[in-house]
Amino acid sequence: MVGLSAEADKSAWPLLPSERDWGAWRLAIALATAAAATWCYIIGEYAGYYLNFLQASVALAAGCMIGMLLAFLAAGPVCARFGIDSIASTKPQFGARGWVIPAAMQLISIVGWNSLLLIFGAKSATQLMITLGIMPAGMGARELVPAATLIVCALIYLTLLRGATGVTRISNILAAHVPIGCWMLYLLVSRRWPELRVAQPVMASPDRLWNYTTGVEIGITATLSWWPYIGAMIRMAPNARIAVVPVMLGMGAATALLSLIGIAGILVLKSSDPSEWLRSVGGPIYAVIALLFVSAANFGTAITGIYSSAIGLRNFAAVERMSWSTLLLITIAPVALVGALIPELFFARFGAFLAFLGVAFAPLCGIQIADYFLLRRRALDIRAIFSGDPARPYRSIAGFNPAALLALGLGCAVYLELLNPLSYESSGPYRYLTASLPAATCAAACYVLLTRLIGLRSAKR
Amino acid sequence: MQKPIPMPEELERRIEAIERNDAGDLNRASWFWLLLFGVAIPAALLLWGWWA
Repeated sequence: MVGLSAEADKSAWPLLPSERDWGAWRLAIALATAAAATWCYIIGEYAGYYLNFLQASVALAAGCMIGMLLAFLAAGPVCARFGIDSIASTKPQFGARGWVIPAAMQLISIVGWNSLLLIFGAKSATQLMITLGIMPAGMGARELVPAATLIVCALIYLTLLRGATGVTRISNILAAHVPIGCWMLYLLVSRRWPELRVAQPVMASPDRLWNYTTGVEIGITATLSWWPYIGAMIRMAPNARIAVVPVMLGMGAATALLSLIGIAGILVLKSSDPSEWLRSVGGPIYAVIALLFVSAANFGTAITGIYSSAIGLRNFAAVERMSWSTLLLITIAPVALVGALIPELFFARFGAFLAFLGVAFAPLCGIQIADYFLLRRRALDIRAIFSGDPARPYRSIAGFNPAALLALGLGCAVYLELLNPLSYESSGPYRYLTASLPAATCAAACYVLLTRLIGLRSAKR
Repeated sequence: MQKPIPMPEELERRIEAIERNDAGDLNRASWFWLLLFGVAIPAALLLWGWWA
């Protein structure tokens, strides 16, 4: 972060080439820290409801890599090329005002993921304190979550007052969560292999293909929602070429790898949370070491999420001139409220949240990919993205591009038709195609068709 | 008719610098890695997991 000015660090303005000094390793570490958090355990848990260990691992890994490919192709090339965040990259498709729709999706996604992290973190902290004898064994996460949430939010706020510098420093330390996670996985697999090998999923459908596809779908939706993180992180890289391998391995593969802990945990011990089973599997010393890292990893990921969200909000004219400290408060407040007021309810509805991510981000990625690679042939006007000049492109109709809005609507409808996010009831070709991939494809096709048919100026230039 | 809103000086400077120095797009090697990690490996994994 040597050359990054304080102004650019805390704004949504494009970064200068001289400021984008993250190499492949540094980027991979930052991305791995962002992705490889305790949410991987719960992602793995959901795959483990439908599939045995081998099939869940394989389906989830494939899904994660496919989702990562889509999310990268949607935002990655533009963000890395111009040094902008994911939200700014949607202005060419959605219009000079229409980008508020992806911005709202980003906010909901980041609030959701970070609330989940904080709840998980509070549970880990409870187990840690019980293991250390600081808290009586009878006390649970229910009592601790609200207080822990507020404490962690305060720590995140203080760390991020320094801007992205805070993210970098934390990332360097907390990337250790990945090897620690591998060690926890080794511990569980090596000690419980005979049980793991024969363990059967509790919610498996009689349709074997449906179970397999659902494992893939869970992986795709989880990594599609890294879309906001991709832009905020890879804009620090000098170009998109450097970002490819770090994104695919640092984010996609790391998520798949750590999700194995959740799969193994739910299949053998009926809990995906290592803080609940580490004491019985590894003993108290192992438990303390691992729980410390799990708690710390939550903190690191939450920091990255809040930073990405704050940078995204900077695109709103109302907060453009707001002080960084006030913007941080606004960004953290919803996370603190969910974690403090409705933690258990949110935790119980994680499956619906995952499906919502697919409903929202799959069509968005499809539209962005079609726009950049097919319609614009990689030609973008960076000045128009930030200009308030009505004569510039990307204004469309009153700032909204109807082609993108209709395509997004169609993509969401296709997803909902194929998979009900609340009941997980499916229809049509879901078992062969997943729901995310057809939603992304239909949204992309609709966007291209409408743009070509109507000849919208905003989408052509 | 709407009047154009002037850009902040610092933003103008940044955009000019980026317009002068385009960081470039994905190249053949990038596409190779993307297709390997995002298509070929997932396809191979899915086939292996299904038949294993």
